Amino acid sequence: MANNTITTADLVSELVSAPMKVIDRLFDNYKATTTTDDGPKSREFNQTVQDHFQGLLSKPGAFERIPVFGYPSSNATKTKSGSLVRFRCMVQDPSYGEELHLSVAQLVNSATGETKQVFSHYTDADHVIEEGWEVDYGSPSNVFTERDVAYCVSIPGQNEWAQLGSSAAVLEDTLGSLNIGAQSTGESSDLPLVDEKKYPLRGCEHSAALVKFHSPGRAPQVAGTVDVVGIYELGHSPKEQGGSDASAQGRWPCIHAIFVCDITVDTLVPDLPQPVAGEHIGRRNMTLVHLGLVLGGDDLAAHYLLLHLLSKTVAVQDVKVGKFSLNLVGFPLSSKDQAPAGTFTLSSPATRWVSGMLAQLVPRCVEIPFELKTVNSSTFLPSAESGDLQAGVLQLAADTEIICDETCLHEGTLDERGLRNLQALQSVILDQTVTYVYPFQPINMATNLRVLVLSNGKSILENDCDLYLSETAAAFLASIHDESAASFMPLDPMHTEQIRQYLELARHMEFSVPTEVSNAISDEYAALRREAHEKGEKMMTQAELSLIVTVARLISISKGEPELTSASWKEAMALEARRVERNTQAKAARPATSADPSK
Amino acid sequence: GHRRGDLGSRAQALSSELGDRPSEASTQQPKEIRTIWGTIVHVRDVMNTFKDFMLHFTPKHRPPASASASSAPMSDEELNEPVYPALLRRMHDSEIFQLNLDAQNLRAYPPAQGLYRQLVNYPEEVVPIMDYVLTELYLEQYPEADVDLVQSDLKVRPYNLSSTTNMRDLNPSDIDKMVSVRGMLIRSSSVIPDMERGFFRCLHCDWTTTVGIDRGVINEPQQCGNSACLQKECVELVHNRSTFADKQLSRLQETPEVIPDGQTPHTVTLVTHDELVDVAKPGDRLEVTGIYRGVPVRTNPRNRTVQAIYRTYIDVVHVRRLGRSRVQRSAAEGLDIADAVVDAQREAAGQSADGQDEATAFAPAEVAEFQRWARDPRLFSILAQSLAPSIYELDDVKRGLLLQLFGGVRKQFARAGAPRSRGDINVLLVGDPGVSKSQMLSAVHSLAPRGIYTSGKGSSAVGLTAYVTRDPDTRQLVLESGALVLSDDGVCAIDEFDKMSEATRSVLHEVMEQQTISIAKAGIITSLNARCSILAAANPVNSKWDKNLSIVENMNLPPTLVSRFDLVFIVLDTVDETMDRRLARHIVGLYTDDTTAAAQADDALPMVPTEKLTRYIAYARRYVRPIITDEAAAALVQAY
Repeated sequence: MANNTITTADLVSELVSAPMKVIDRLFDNYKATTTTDDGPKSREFNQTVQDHFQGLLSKPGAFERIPVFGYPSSNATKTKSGSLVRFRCMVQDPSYGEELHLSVAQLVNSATGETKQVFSHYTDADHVIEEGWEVDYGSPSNVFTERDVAYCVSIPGQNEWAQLGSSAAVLEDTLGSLNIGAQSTGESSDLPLVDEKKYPLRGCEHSAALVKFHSPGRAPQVAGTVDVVGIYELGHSPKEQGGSDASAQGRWPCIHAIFVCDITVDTLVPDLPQPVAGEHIGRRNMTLVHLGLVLGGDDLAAHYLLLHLLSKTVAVQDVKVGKFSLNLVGFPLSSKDQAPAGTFTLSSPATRWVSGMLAQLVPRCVEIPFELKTVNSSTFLPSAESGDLQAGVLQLAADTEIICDETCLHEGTLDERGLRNLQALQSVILDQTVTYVYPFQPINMATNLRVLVLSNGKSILENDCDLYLSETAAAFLASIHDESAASFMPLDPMHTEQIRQYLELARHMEFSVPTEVSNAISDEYAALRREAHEKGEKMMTQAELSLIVTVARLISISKGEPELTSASWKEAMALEARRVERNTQAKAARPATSADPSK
Repeated sequence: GHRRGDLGSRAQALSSELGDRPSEASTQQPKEIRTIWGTIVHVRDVMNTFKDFMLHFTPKHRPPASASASSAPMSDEELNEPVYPALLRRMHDSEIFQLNLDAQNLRAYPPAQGLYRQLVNYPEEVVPIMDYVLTELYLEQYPEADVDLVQSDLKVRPYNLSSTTNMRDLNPSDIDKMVSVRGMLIRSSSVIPDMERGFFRCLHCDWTTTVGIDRGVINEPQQCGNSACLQKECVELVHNRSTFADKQLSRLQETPEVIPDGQTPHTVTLVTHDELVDVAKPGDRLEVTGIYRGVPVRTNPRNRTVQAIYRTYIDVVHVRRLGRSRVQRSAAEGLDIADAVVDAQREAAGQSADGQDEATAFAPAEVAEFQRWARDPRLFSILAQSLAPSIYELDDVKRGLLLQLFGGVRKQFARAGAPRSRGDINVLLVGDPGVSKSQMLSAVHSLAPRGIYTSGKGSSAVGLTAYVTRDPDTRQLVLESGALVLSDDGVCAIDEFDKMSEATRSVLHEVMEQQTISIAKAGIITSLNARCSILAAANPVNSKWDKNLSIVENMNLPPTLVSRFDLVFIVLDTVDETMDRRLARHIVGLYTDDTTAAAQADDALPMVPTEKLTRYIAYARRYVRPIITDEAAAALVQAY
């Protein structure tokens, strides 16, 4: 460097390009300031490193200068070993292995009796010792640290707008020797080693890395999502023990985590200011209009779709409340020959249209076509029967939107696996649990997924709520072709961002029911039942009441109200009445229109 | 010489220092080594203490708590009878030269308390000394014994440490210490012959040598040791003169109780040696006592590097199986030698083998808690309330379902050809739509140890293969599935029982009475076990209960089938304003994000969390075997 004053920018660029150098310097400082009797405490030192990095990276613009690892950025193959990277990922397997790491080794010179300490942290590479020195294995100054190794994959279904952005230029690996595979750019086949069986959506492009957590302040949770900042290296996998040929190993992408941070709404829509109190209503109306356009002008369906997008599961005692899986009925059937062959993309133009529009609004959505071949051939539940935790389609990050396309389901045999798959999906809808099939002891994990089923008739899955689309909406969807979808003007970017922010914020709002409203609801429920009984009509059931309360809650938060108001309750009652009426009419009309002529 | 694969090379070096023959060694050895390098272990002290313990430990040293747990109270004479000489006698008789040492006995014996600590901290040093003392004592007691045989095989296997370590809490400070972990064995490798001594011969002069294993490697001598030869790189391994030991690698996985929320189970590698190979099978719950190890991952030929990454495993010293059912256990005892010794030893130590073994599948604290519950007169009400707390009221139904979950005792009459008496009860719920029948079913389904939830509409009783068809009426897709065989030993919950086809129901007749399913396929008629209890829910004949019809007319089910249900509940949707109001408030309360508000319901009874309830049911199903006393029998006869 030409000038003598070291600017923050210089420090940051050193951090990004040669983080190990920085860490070594920190270690030297640390060693100098601590007493040598009990040796350096690795946990304490890790904290020092973490603080130093976080401090420097909190400077404006610094964070974005770190290159992004992994799909969809094409530079995964070219990330230089030993450089700092960011990885937005889902923890697929938090118990991928534990490793003990000799992070500080005491060396002794057999000739002179001199001793010195070598430090190897945040790397798996062996230390080369100069001639004459030996490791003193009996020394109490040796520090062993324990590391959790987690297998992390790019978040399944993460939409493009919700990926990490970076201003960093691609760091070319000048050494070349550490790279594997061909050097051509951008092609998925050139990505570093990944285990296909450990990615939920088999056959989809993704990247994966072994993330090694050096200071487990917080244990990584299975299917949890994090932004990892760490040092990239091609390392070795703890699952490949015992191989004698060292050169065959050590070719797994590893990230030695320096720190991790959560993915918050601010990182998703960084350019927008926090909305002010009254703004919710405006945003809500804008969203409703947009969803209405997507669904061919069906206002009722737009309302329910919005409520569905805002739902979140909360466990109370033994029940999960707040979940709101939605079945939209009335999509055109797709013909058999349109069916895709066992992939997780939708085939019918109508369902693809809806899914594409939602992808613009929610951070992640996954498409599951209910095509018999796909259902029979894939595994929905994660399984560790083989010893290694293999992902299943339903091992998804919390808050993922699952769009099931039932329009491509046709008559045929569902085999045992397919049946188990459907049962697994059903238990996600009803209980919000995903069973991890561990040998001899399956483990149920609570999850938080929203399921939207698009079907022609009522779905074979039991959903919290189903709604028949209006005839105009059904006609609109039937008229969609791939070409017509392109002609629809999407929202302008500003409004898209606003809707994204609105949905994220509203979904995570605290909510409660004041006693007066609760009492009023109880009275109304009792009165309604009495009236119905007197008239000999069908009485409202517990389940119906629960559904209306869920709807009321979602209406409340959609307006930005943290407490349930009687107005929202009334609105919920009215909305439900409209829905029930619509469904009854549609059910009455439907068999007439689509009846089998042979009958 | 004496060698144990589970203890490692330092132990081997020590035992060779102790001397090959105890008879000679006892005269001279303690002078040479007093303190083992790097530890605070004084060899002489350890030997004396352990010898004292072996000769003088009696059951009365045991802490009173565990003494009371044993089935039969012992007389004073038994209490003062030293335990271990009797065990040596048993070893002599059975010729199984392994001593399972209950570490709690060490702790209970006042002079040996320090020894317990040393055992845990320096197992590699202390265990060989114990072996040595054991051999010495054995030879004192049986001087005529075949020394060569005895010497190579006498092993002390400590178990029952004061605390078991959680697998995910094993950390670097536990390395080379004795640890005890619990878990489920999920995989075992085949038996690997592990070379423990390599026999080498010089190609030129036929000079021979044996080399022991050091840190997992046997180093081939670089040079012939014959001073007349001294040729380099001419030494060859002779396989049939080398010695091998059995070794097996297995994986132990955490059991669900100890896994924190949102985590997946950890596993640890076990290395078992010699007698312990194949003692446990995948699927067994084990408590393993062993030495925690860390070794470099890569065996790097170049020594000029510091190896950064170490992997860990446990060298198993003792295996204890937890929570087997009585039947399996008695079958296993005859087969597994090591296990038999474990049991024999435990009996001799004054404990009921059964009681001990069974209790341990559940943590002692948990068992104590359950037993405390069992004494609570409100237990039934508390449990009934905790079953599906989100469903309001319906307490009688909940009680019935609880009884079903606990199940009865299956009885097999000794007389040949006699029918099996079924111990499970079948329950039928009939009632108006929308009274949470389905929720009740799914609550039971989730609590039962094994179970299937199915809908009567379109279910076929045999097999799992399903078919997607179009319902001829509604043109909607319907799923056909089967369920019964899968719920063997559990609860099969069938919703919409009234909509089940005649053919399927007829299969249920057999299941509910005989608890088997007959399958006729491709000319072979076979009968599968389906020892499940059935929980069915059905709607009344006109989908709404008609007060003007009789119960039988309302039910819409053949009387022969109804008679096979032991409990029939009729659940009606009645109008009761106060009840309705309370119910609505309850439901709305669930939707407040503030969970404390929902929890402070107006009940005085404590609530049992679902997981605990599941565990309690599992515990009761497995361990409680009620018998009908004479008085109870009399009361029953009277009542009838």
